[in-house]
Amino acid sequence: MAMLEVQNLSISFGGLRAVSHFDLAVERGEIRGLIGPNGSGKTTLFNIITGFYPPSEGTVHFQGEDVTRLKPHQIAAKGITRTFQNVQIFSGMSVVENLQVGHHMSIKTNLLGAAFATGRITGQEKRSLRKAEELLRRIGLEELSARPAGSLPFGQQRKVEVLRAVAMEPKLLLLDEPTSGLSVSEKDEMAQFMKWLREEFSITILLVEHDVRLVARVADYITAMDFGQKIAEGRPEEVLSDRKVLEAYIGAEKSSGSN
Amino acid sequence: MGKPVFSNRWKIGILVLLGVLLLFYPKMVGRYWAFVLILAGCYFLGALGYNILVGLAGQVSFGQAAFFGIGAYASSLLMLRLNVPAWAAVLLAGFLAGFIAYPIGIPALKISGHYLALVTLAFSEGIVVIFREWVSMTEGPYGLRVPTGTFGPWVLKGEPLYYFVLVIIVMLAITAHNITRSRIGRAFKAIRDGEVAASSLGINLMNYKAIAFALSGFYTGVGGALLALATGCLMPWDFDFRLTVALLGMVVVGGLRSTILGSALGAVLLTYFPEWTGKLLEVKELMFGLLLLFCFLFLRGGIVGGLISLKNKMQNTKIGAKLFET
Repeated sequence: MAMLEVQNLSISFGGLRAVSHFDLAVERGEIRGLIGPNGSGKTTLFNIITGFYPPSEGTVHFQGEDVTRLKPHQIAAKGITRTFQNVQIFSGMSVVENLQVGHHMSIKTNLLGAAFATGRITGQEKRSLRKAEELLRRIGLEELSARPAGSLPFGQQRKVEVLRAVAMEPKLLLLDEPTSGLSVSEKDEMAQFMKWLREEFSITILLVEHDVRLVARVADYITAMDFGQKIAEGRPEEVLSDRKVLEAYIGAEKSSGSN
Repeated sequence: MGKPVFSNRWKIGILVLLGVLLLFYPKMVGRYWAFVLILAGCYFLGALGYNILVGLAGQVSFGQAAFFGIGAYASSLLMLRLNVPAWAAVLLAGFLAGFIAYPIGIPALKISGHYLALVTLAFSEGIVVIFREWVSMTEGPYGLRVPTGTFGPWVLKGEPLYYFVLVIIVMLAITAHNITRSRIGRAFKAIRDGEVAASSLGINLMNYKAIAFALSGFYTGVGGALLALATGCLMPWDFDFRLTVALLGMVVVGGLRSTILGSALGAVLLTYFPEWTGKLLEVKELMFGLLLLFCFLFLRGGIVGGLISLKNKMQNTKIGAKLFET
């Protein structure tokens, strides 16, 4: 069984079927690209997998376990986390603290231990701080450590958001358009960064991305969606030359050009 | 941010100076002003509890006065009816206030913003009604006389009361400081800055909101319990909406993003403020309003926020860079 198995997943909002009988299987260690025009249901699918929306039909299995109706924090406890299309950084906290929130589940602190700062707790806190700073150093952002995250330029906020997710040491990471709003060179960096994440931390990545060339470069396989349904799946070059995919994109571009 | 408690010499120096000052304060200024500082200390705990909820965890609440009142009445009644020693009564009252506050965090998961404000306000005014109407227990509008507490050989009046309150406040401030720096404090801030992201990193929103309310209730409740010891008499309407506004004023003036220092500065300033403007009794409330307005318009981060931005500006100058070397 694949690491992530989505079966026959559907959800409707009002009369609209945002995701319809959708199947997806992602293997361990894979980088899977998920493409499709705006409104094709990619983010909705993310929201179902990470527990923000309950599906009206279908199941999500992770490592053989049914996680369909778990809450977001329970999904995180299973080893799945995500980033967001519009960056969701903790703007009032420093960069290093943002990363430390990623350690939330690995630090065991009860209220009394925290209040009296027992030795065990301070030890854990110190380790957490060191680990977070080490992660920043490896990506060359150590001088940003103490900066309020909200004061960073957009591109760096995106990186911090991804690093925060990495700090959680997830098994599966869902990235929702991690390069939207980035410059060309920043996009390149992000692409390198994703490959690095897989090699260094052996994280499996499910990636929603609009930049088709970028997906083709980083993803092992691509799944294409339109109107909540799967329209193509396979190696990047196959999917990107698929007639249905091209139609979906050209069709979408026509309609988006008119508004 | 995540650095150890006392990372530089400046902080230690200021803390030592402050400690000496607080230790000798009653000897220097006499009973009256020592009493005013006791009141400021009680309000500090009230504001600290409020700040944990609003500034740290980002939850809206207009019911803080209720926790202060529950602490005050509970400790007084424990002492009066069950002869519980003062220190234990104060702590137990704090726990009771925290225990009552805890479930309020649960609806906070479903409702937020204006609606949460209204729910907490209704709760708070309901508590005042209980204080007023449950005459057989609270003496209602006749006022509850609080027995004078003792601690070992000391009768808790004047100087002994000052030191009793000081020790409790310092201990609680340290625990609050530790909590804000633990993963629990970070979880609060994460919820404040983005609930959705917080939950996707494994933070149980319902649990942590409830904990934020409980902690808030605890600190504020202890503040109320100490105030009861200091003033010796409780009236139900001492704990109505006006108290919430006063505590919120302290939090805003001191600084929403500075849980401990901000609450302390705000409480001291706003407690001494009417003393300084005492002769101008009629304009007291107007002055309070103007002070709040000033903070909203020019000092969004309160006093502490203002000081930090001043420091950042000065660091860019030559003298400033030397002064704030770390």
